[in-house]
Amino acid sequence: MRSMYLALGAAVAALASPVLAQGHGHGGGGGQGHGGGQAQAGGGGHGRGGGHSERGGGARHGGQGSQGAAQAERGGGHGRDRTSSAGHGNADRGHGNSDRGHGNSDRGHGNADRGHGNADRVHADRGHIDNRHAQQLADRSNRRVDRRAVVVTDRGSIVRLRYDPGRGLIQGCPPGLARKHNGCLPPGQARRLAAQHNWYDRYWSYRRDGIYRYDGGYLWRLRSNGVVSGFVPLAGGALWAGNPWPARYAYDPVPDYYRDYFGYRDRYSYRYADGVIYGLDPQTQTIRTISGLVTGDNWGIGSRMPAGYDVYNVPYAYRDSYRDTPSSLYRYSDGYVYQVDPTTQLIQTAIQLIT
Amino acid sequence: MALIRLVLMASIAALPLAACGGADKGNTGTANASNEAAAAAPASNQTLAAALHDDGDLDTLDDVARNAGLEDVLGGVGPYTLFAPNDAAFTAFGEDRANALKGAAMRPQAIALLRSHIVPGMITRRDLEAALANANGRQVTMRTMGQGSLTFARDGDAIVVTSEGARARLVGDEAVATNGAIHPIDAPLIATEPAA
Repeated sequence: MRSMYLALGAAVAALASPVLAQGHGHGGGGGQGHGGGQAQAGGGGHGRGGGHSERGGGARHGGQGSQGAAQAERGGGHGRDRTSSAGHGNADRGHGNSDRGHGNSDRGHGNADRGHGNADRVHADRGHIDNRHAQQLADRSNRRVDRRAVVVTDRGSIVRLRYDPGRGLIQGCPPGLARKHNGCLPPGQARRLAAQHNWYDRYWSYRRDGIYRYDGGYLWRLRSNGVVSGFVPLAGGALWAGNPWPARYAYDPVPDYYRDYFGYRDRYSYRYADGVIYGLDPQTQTIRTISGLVTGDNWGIGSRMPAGYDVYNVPYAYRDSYRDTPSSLYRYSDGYVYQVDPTTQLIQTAIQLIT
Repeated sequence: MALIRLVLMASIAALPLAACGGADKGNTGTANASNEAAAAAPASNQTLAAALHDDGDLDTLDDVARNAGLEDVLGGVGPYTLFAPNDAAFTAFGEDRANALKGAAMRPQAIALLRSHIVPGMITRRDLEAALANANGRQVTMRTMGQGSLTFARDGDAIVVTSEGARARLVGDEAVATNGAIHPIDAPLIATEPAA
């Protein structure tokens, strides 16, 4: 079912036939376990994505694929992206300077700014960016993805990337900043950081488990006495093109369903962390691009719809089939449309948007 | 594994055609809502990235988005809905701050700001109107691609949106793209006062 080339501007003829049986679910074929376990205390063990994908062969397996993502939340251990044999821990070898940056707002970026520069460069690069973009879109439109809706009634078939508000924070000190005075910084420097008040401080106000301050591509968590107790690599800072993946920063591999749904090309390996999908060079494990944003909301069949979906938001191409009615609401999230009971707000079915 | 495979679907490539052809026949928002159809703004062939780039009142946000490295996101499959502070909003916000958000040193802030203005899925102005009509005077909420939410309410004929103490009004025309929609707003939706 994956043999159909999509052509821009051409609607696909309807297929009303019942399902051909192959491809039971889209299981996180690529994901065999996950990385970043070291950041999770007590993790341990190896996650198993279960599924695998046979690209080009048509048949896909992976009924347990979602478990890969699910276990990624829980466990520690090794990760292995489909396109990379390197696990998370290995990915950082040879990049020991990845976490430099505290105390100097520029150091943490490494060579990440090449090609991006300042605001003037943004303008100057527009032509190049637009051309690159057109090529990317062409690549995606030519990718073999059968964008048909499939109703899923088995909760185990839903592949989700999950957001965990507790993840992302790395306890202790980053490489290069030895533990001093019961914290990563001398008390005076930590106190100065804590005393800084910037207009963008509340950009990360959802982190409520301490005092957070931004510096050098990281968000620093400070105790009330000013001692640094942890740090969070930030998209656009430590997590930016050209930088290696920060040591101990937890991630999930991106399951095939999302790779196919978003039309990612195979040139990168993909990692998910803190609501962001990153494309990495599979050879060097350096970050190349921000590829996607996902909510990570928990949409489980039989569960209550997550908060914050009061407005109908189904993609255009699916609106004819999935319109709100007195008996059903439909909401889109992260590559699926969900049918919800308007009265109980319970999720009835999921509709995957590719097959 | 109980899979019930359904039905016909158009390819994602058919998005513009579907929209132009009036595929969006409206939604009720709630079980009790009316199904009145209203003409949706026609979709273009443009992605969100291209539509943002071409909108003459959203130049600053376009620069911030490019600095944030979100071209692939806004040019990809999506869909997302962007509530877009217009240039006047950034002028009021402070040109120093706006310029800072275009630079490498504040790229994390630029990304955080953008994520706070993007919600999942395709939401047209009519979808918002319908949701508010069905809410009978109550507010309606959408979560963002950051970790916050946007709350919508009516203020006379206008729709206002609030988040974390920030407040804006939907202004101008929406842009319905192949992979989402853009709604211009007259202020950024992120608190900027220093933390205490």
